[in-house]
Amino acid sequence: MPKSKLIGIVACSGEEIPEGTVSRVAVLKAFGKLMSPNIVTTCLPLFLAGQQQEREFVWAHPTITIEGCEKRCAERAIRMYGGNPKATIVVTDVEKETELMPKSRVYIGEKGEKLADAIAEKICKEVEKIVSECDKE
Amino acid sequence: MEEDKEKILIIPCSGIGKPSGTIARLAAYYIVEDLLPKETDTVCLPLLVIGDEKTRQQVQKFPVITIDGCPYKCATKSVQSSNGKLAASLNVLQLYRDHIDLEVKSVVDPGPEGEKFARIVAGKILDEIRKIKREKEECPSQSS
Repeated sequence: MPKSKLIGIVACSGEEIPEGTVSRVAVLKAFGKLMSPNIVTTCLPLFLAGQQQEREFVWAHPTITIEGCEKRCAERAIRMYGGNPKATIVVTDVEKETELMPKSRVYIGEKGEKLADAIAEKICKEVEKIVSECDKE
Repeated sequence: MEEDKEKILIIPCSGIGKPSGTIARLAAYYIVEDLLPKETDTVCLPLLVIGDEKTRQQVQKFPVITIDGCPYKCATKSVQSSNGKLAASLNVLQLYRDHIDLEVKSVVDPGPEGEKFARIVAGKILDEIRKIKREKEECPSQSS
């Protein structure tokens, strides 16, 4: 884990699709695996609400976005406000890779949980990559 | 969502950092999936955040009830800044003041008491839906 650098993970959380729920669950699973005070999550809608603290965070720290669909709202929102995500994971891409589909928006089911596990793994790998890059600097 | 049919939109904050975001989301799903699936729907709040035109048009066309999870009121502000038809705005934290005996476990799993509280919030949303319907019946021209 980085000693001083923070890494932000931003989930789409899209309410309209089951993949939005999966993105939330995956981020929280990754938090459980990483168990680091240097990994933080940011509320995406807070960007629009104009929270300076949230915006400054994405300028100053590396971020990973977890997108529920191809519209990539989290990545676009961060770029809109001057940030540049280090990595983007799209839930629908991982669905294709793993052939795991969530059951519904409320209950993602067993396959949805496995899908979230797979995404959490990917998040952890991206975090490790960013940490090793930071260590080299 | 079905685009031509008149719907009431329920938009929760879905904030990932607090259990209140989960409660807002769950309460919205109780309405749009279980109780009034034909009369209500939801749209992705992040799509409004990035200014998606189709989503903006939906919130401008249909009455919207927002459910915020914290005092920043992101859902409400997002609908207002999209010139949406904000019909009512609920705040989970304010509603929780009357139910502090209920323990909301965590962001991932609100637990049985958290689910109970989400159903209470859903009840408040239903009250707002009834109000919207009543107003529409009384003044059909204003609500169209």
